[in-house]
Amino acid sequence: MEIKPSPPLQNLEAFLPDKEQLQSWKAENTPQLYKGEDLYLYIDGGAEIYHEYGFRQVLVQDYKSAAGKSLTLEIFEMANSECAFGIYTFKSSGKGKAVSVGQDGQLEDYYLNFWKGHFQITLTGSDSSPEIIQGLLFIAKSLDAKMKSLGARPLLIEALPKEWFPLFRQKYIKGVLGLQNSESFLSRSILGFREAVVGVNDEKRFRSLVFLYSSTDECRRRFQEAQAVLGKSAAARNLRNLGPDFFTVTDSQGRVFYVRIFEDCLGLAITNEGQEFASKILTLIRHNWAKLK
Amino acid sequence: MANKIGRRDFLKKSAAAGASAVLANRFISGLAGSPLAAFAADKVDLAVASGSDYAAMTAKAVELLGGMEKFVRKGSRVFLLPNVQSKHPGTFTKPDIFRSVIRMCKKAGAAEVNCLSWLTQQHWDGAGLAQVVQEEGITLKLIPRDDVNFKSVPITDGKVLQEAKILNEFFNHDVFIDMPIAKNHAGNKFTGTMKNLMALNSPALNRAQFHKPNWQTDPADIEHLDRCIADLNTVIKPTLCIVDATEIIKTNGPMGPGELIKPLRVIASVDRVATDSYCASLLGLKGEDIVHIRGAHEKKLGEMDLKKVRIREIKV
Repeated sequence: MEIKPSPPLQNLEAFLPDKEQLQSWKAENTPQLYKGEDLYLYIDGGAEIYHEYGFRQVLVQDYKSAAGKSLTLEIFEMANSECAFGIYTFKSSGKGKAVSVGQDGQLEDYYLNFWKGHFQITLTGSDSSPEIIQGLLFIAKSLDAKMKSLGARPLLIEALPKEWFPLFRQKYIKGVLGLQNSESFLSRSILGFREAVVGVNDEKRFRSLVFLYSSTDECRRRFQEAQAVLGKSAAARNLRNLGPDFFTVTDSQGRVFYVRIFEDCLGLAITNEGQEFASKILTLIRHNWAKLK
Repeated sequence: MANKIGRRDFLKKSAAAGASAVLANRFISGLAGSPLAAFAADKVDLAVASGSDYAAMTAKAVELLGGMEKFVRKGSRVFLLPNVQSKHPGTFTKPDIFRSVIRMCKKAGAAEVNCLSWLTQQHWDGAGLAQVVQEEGITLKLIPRDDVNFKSVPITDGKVLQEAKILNEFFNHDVFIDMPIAKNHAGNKFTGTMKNLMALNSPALNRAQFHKPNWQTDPADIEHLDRCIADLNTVIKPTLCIVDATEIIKTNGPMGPGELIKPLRVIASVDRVATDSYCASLLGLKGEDIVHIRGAHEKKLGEMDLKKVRIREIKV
């Protein structure tokens, strides 16, 4: 999916809760705004992942409670809603508690993430005390009320069967950094995708990934290259063709990969449950993607 | 360029010369073999103190290595490099650890204890370390990012990096204590003592050289970044590493917020490779999985295999 031209940058300060809404919390210092490349001034050594997801600007505002607790609000404006959803999935573990704030609000330990429209919002407390949690929720809700536009999730997310991969255990990936943070691979040949999605099934301990390429030819080229590279790799074993567009390989940790091509998509299942199970999952993905297209 | 000075010689000269002109190349690594070699007679390579009193743990870890006096001689000018990445929990060196190190240095007779940084006052304020600087009466100097403030250091043994540009004023010190927090990094999975040295290097160079021009699409970019870190470490060698592994983020590093784990440990060692390998294990990783740890081990900057490291763990 191409990143569509973005609208003019928003005035992010307009989303901040009004003073009279803050109750026991008080804004500390003036809000800081970082645009484009200036993000490196705010996030030294970690800005690249945001840029991979189409970062445009971020507003940072600190708050302090009457009891001396502090929290930080970050409003990230991204290139489009797919990018906002993507960085949200990157930052959320999926192990938190769902809260009704923005889109897909998740409260985890001492922080809260949500996305809305083409914005991704993170509130981080200095600890996980009840006062902080209340503050996170309170400020998040004030912000949410001011953000009117909703965003659409990327289409590729729908390719993974929800009965196996709940939404909060999916990560939407836009590039190499995001992928390598989520998975390690035997072959780099598989990279060069336009977008990807990773789904995790905690119960059966397996994962599936779907890579979308710019064309069917590109997808097939990557598939064939990956097979060729794996055939020569000392780290790979048990490389076998399971059909004209389907192969399996085992890595040095004993993880079994099943790789199947369907048009412009490559589907992967990483599971030790066997070929039949992997085929079932990959068939579901193929059907889902065919319907979506 | 490399000053082939052994550690014991270095300490002798430091004591004799104080802050003199010979210091310019003091931290330029030229030691042959493992940094543990200089301490062969000692019993502990890597000291680990666990508990909940971070200051006491820090003091104990250093004590297990022989005490701060072993590293900081009377009249020394000490440079401390804590991590002030962000104010989110588990992303910055804890103030209690920082304070404990400052006090140990002073007690050992340091003439000066200084911090230099091209990050902003907000970073130091947010991490709570600016307050410690003030309370303990040491110096924090914020250095503008202009090229003129950095000294070019050729990397003759570099695989991918041919030059470092290190803060000029760094070379005015006798002792360098590297004080990162161990944590996840969205690029190379782990950041510890070795990656922390990027805070000494010109930020412009960090941006331009540590990433490939097409980093967003080049799958080899992360490995390139790791190789640069290993190369940088061939020319700068900390006198001592003290690592915060008390409460650290396991995901979404280096900035966070992310999943917070609590190993509740402080680690001290002269071997940065062993230190990083040990700290990576706290995040469920192996040293060999991290390209810059493996690269530094291959360059004989330290020992990656923890079975070969004499580790002493103590509860405080």
